[in-house]
Amino acid sequence: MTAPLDGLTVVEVGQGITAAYCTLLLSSLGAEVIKVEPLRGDETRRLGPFPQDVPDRERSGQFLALNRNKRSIALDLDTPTGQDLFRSLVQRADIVVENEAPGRMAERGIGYEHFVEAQPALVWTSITPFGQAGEYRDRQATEITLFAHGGLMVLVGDVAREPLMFQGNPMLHSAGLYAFSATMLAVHLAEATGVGQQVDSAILDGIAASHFQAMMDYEYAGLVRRRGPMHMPIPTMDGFISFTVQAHQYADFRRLIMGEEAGAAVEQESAVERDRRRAEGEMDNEILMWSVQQTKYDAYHQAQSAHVPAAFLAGPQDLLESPQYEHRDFWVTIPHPDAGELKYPGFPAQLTGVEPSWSPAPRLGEHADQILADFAGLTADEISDVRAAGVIR
Amino acid sequence: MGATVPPPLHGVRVLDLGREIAGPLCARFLSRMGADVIKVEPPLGDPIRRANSTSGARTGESSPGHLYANEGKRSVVMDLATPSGRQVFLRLVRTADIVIENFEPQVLADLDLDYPVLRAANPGVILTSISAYGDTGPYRDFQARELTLFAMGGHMYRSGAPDRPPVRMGGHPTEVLAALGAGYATLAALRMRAAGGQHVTYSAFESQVTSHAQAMVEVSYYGMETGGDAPRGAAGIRGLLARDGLAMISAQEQQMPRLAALVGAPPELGQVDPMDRGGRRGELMERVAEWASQRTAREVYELGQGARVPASFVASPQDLLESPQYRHRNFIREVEQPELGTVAVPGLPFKWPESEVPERPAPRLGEHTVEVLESLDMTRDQILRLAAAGVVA
Amino acid sequence: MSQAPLPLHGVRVLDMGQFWAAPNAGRALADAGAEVIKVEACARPDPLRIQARGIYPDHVPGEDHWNRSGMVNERNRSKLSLTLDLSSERGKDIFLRLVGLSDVVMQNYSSRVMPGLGLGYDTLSKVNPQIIMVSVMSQGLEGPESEYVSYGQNLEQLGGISYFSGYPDDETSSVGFALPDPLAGATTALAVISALRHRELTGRGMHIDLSQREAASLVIGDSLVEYSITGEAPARLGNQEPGAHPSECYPCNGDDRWVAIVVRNDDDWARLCQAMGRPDLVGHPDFATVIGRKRNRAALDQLVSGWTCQHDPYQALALLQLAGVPSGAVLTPRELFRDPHLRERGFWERVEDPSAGVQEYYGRPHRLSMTELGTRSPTPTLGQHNRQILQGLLGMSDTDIEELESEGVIGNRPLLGSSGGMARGAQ
Repeated sequence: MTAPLDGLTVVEVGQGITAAYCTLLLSSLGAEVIKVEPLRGDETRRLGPFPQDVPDRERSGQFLALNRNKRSIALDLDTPTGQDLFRSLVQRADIVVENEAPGRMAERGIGYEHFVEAQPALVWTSITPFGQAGEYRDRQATEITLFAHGGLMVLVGDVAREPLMFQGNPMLHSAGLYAFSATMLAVHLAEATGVGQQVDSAILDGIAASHFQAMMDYEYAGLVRRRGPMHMPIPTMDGFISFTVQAHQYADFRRLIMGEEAGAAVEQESAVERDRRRAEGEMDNEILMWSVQQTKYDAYHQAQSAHVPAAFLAGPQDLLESPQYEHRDFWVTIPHPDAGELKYPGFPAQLTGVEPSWSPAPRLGEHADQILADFAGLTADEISDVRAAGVIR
Repeated sequence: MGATVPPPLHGVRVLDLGREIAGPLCARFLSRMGADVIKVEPPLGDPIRRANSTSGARTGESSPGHLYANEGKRSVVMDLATPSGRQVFLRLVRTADIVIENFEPQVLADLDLDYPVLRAANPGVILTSISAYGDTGPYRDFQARELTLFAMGGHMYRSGAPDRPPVRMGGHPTEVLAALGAGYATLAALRMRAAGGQHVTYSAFESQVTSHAQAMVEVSYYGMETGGDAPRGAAGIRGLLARDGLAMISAQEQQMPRLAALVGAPPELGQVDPMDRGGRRGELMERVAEWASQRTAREVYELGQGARVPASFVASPQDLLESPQYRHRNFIREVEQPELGTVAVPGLPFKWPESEVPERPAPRLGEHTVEVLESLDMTRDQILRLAAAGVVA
Repeated sequence: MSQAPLPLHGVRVLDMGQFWAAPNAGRALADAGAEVIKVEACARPDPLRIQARGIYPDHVPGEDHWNRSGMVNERNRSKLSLTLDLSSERGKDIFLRLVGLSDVVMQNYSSRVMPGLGLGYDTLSKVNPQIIMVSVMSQGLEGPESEYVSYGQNLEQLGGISYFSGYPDDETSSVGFALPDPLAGATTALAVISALRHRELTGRGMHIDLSQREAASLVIGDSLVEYSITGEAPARLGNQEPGAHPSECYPCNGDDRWVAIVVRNDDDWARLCQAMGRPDLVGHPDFATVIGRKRNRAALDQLVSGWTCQHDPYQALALLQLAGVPSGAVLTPRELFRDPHLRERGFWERVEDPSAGVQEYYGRPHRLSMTELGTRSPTPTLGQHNRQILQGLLGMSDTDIEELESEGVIGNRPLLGSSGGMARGAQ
């Protein structure tokens, strides 16, 4: 089967998540991705998690997951030799995805403007916290500061306590996803018109776009949304479950947990009465009485059978064993020479006729020799010299 | 096999901050004598790991030089330029007897890790600093390599053909001599341990100057007008041209009769007046050259030695690995090197009859970081945090 | 000034070394405080005392030329001298009594000599089980080639150094002086000091079997490893450092004057351009990268030598080092003798030799912060300490000594009989 992005070559200069996730998606659809790492390696190699908590740049789960399918060269872009070799990579590429600080690539003489003349169709995606221009462009940011800066943090957590962030770097991942979409669009345009572009993808934009409701409240009504009281998840025998029971499901749900009579009784009540019960937390107690006698799976299935949107709080094992994920073949198992066989998330959508392909993440600099021979035409001897001069490793 | 007794440096811990050849090889000698040597490497590792092999063989980060100079050690990665890395290093220094380094002289001071600082952490520690020109004097900060030291040290002015640039000796003559000499000086300091630690400095330049004593003695004995200097090429061809390569016979006067008999020259050619430096000696040597040209270099060696005349041939690596003499003495040992298989590594040129030092291959970068840091009572959690910050790896 | 006791204080060494390697090690031990007794026979003194091409002050061998040989006086400093005819029973007896009072015996005769004299390790260890004997052999005490003889240049060939020395296209030029001797000397000193520690740990003496050929192979150890991996003989590289372009000797102003320059990486190239006063070349596309400099080597060499030949080696060196370029002038012995760096560091030691007069010898490349390891006394004349040693250590009387002298067991001049004479066999 031909993959949709077969024949596209991507050069990634990415530290961390955003660019890596963007190119991971490109690569899973068939693009060939060359990951240009600094000599110390991508920072995610240091972040783990690691087997037995032993730091090992070849066994960082985060790195392995984000950099499947790619080839790696560790190249010192601060040396003229490194810059020159980088040029030869880009010259054979269709797409560059980078998340260096704005202007950093240009300072080294290898920015978009240095290639556009010779390669007008090149798509160059730059992912930065705040964009390539503007007052904030040189400011520093991380997942938590972006979460705060983008207006989400003030909304998360109990109103009586400090705001919270999400774990797992969802902002940075979604930034990669936005960049992926924008890159695909730019490639589409370039194929149609022969003119590429620099895609200026700002992480902050994506965050603001994801919760415009708060802005609407403010604009329409001058309301400032705050964190609400926490909807506490409900304990079961072996975990937690969470419900959103709407008013019209109330009777069914009561019937489910307390029997026919209790359900019928509620059906007779007025809407006002029902709201009172909910407000006084009567139902919470009723659910609790029921839920502590259930397993989380039983509670979940029963609630769903009553058409109540419910979910148990899934842990990693639940996810990996989920029949639904399994049905969709979402988890892919990939063997890695250092880390062994691990399950990784697949492509988050199914496309007809498209079978995402997977190969293990590269070791640091694993493909340097091959890449330099293929892209820069270097002999083995020359590659050795470049390595001895400390430009690659 | 008889019971083994502890090797000479049993119980001695050495921290090897060395890079490339001289420092690491010095520490390697100590490890072959039974010391526990911990190689403390920067995040990118000792550059020798990537030094290219002269054959251009691809050995990744396990260059032949690395396997040779770092056999038997453990590897810990620490960024000494960071405050935490420095602190962790000082904790390690408290457990050490010897620290060996061959940075340029100012480097340790710039890291605030020069001898007074190490001494404050561990009054008994011996710091051995091997540098090109020593830690004082106008050349202190000169940049040096094997070639440039060979030039400065005085061996080169007579090396090579008169009509070509001077040419250096192969291998690492200046670094190996320095490694041996610094090893001696370090163990001399270790004998003074009862009086405390101290700083041992070693100048590779000076050890070169000591290594061609004859010319330097001439300068003193004959005076600046005539002593020492001789034109390049005066030494002529460094051997006999045998059928397939170079050989040599360095017979002295009392061996001349045997030599004459060996090459079938008339006995009177072997009767040389010891004070007569020309004359018939030249005639005999012509006969020797003629004789050698009809034989292989190896035959010249074997036949010459059979006649108890100092004869030799230019031995290749293959000759040495296959040498029955080296095999008999087990000088070149076979070491199992992960990923490369069995590798032959030269050991020490002398033997202790009773002590065995366990074999341990050259370490992967940071292979023992966790093990060593845990021995300093650091928790896995602390180690992971340092690793995530890039301080250790 | 109070100093810590010297590191080898209290260690007594019988140094039977001759020529270069072993005596050199003996000197290192003596400088570090050992009492090193150079043991020679009048009929068989250190061959360098009496060799045809000796170095004598102003070329004048003089009356007692054996005490005026520069090659002996340079490397036997800080020692005592005892003559002893080891082929005589009395000589052997005295020697064994000294062994009983000593810690180390060093020798570099060919492998048959000491056992032939009845003074093999077995005998010595019976007299003194804690004795450390060091045999500095050509190729070791045992094995098929253990009886082979050699000099430094032979060992350079046999140890594999020669294979890698010289121009890539021509292996026949002479390169350097015989390095295996100083290598073996340094190795011997290292072996002895480690054996002393071993004895402290275990209470045992030992016989150290040292191969000078192996010591020479240390210089090319990485190439042996490489061969074992690749099965291909590594190349002879001349002045080329792998990965460095350029890495070469360039001609300077003057006759046969040179400066060595090594450009390890792009930064060094920028520095070289600065040194040459050619900042315009830093980014030159032909030379800015490793690959460019490698591929355009001929043009590069021309460019660099065009600059170097305008300067004498020291000038070029100063300019290059100012810019931080790894470089070295090809210095001659005379230049080294007056080299400002070595002078400022006090490297040369002025020694008043009993017979050769005031001379300057090289010092030592190592310095210990706690104590000074320098020449403690000039090289003794042949037999200078006979009386001191035999009386002081063995309690002999004047009469005993006169008897030994008359029997020729000890003496203070070489006996150059028919079989004696000039330099004897190689080690």
